[in-house]
Amino acid sequence: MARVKQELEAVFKTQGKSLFPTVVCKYNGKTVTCISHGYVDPKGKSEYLAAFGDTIPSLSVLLNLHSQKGGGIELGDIKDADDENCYIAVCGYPPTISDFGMAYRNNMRFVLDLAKGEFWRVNQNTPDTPNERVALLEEEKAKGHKILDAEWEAGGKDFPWYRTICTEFLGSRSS
Amino acid sequence: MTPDIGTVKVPKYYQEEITKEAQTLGKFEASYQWSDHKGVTPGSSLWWTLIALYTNFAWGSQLPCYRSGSATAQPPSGDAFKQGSLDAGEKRLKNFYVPFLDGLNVSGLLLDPTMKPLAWSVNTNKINKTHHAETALILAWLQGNPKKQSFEGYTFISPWRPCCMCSAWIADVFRGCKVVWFIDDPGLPLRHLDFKVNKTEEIFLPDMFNKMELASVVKRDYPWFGELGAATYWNYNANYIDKLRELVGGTQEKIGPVELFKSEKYFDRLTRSWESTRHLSSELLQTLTKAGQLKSYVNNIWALRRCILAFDESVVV
Repeated sequence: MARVKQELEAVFKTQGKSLFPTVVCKYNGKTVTCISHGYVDPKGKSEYLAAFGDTIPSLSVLLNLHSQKGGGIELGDIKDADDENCYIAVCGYPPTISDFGMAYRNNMRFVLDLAKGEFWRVNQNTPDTPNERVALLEEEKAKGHKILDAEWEAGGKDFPWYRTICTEFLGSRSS
Repeated sequence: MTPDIGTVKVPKYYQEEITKEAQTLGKFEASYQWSDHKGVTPGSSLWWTLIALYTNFAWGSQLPCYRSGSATAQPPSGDAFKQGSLDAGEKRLKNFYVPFLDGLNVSGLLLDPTMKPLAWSVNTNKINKTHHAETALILAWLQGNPKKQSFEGYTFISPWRPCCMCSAWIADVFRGCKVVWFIDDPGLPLRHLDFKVNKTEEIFLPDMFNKMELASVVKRDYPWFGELGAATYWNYNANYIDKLRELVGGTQEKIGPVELFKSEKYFDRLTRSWESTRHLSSELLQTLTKAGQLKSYVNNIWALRRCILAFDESVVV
């Protein structure tokens, strides 16, 4: 975990939270490995493709770069990604809707917001048949769920990587 | 913003083709200007008829853009490129198509509140796996338009129902727009568009036929809306997989959008769709002329076709 701490420190402390830092990690059930990080220039001269309005989805643009084939920085596809074999995104800002969409596309199961000490499970609800999807949709609507409840389930389970990351960087605030 | 698309380099033979179309359709000079559809009331019969025409264009526009980078896939049998039915511009690109044709391209088209085209894109996820047509269009759009926040009255045409990632981008960036689609995808999980996030709403085009006075003409001239649309709309189609299998043919055990993409029927319809953007039926010609909308429609289609044949991934005007 030492390298994760080092990487995260480099991004979150050296660059500062105003730069909307993001770290992409890989989790194999035992350890978390930092794969890359990125941030957005507050003056708008971003190294990334997109920045808009008052939200700067640095996770989205980082994942976009990672998805470019042939550039040598592509995130490998994880076969049968699950909770203990997946990518995890760590954001220093509240993740945007587009961040969740991109996270889904890139085999991420969790997105953390270190600014608030919260995390979300990225929806992996992919039914096998159309009828299942209809049933699920109806079920969610009947519950009156809003998008964050239905699509991105807020975390409650005590994942070891979550406690470690939060404890190391946020201390008692999120433990 | 009115771009000078006359500066786009298009081979002379393609310009001749465009002139021929002009003579066929309206006997007026091509202006090469993006045009709005002033005077058309949103939600009216004419509005939905035009949306159907642009949707037909958006879907068919995949055809000359099979350049997603797949080096392994082969064109399906009955390949339209071999039939000599495509225009000179497409033939020019023939050498590019064949190695890349994988039948997985989807296109997207953004229209402003007057139905003037603002951006077009095609799926290039063989190059970047996040570059589905919708996401590619949005990323291209953001580079030039980073601040715009409200898209009420705008229409995003995405012939294939947007996936989870693209739904998120659309709901996040094109807030308040309407997303028009007609082909469903059985692999979709719950998406932000299912919940109308940021008041962004999806519309299944065949549901709008009852709003069109010329519905019978639209159904006749563009039968794929009903054929591919109704058969794949699983929200109310309990026999979706069976219908899809009928459409795709063959005996594959697993059936889904990939099989549909690669089916001969799909490719045949796609070819007819692309061709049909150049030939309006007399009923549609008469209606658009009477309403003063023909010139705008034809100008936009010409302009889009020129851009599509000149650019690679996405066009933002």
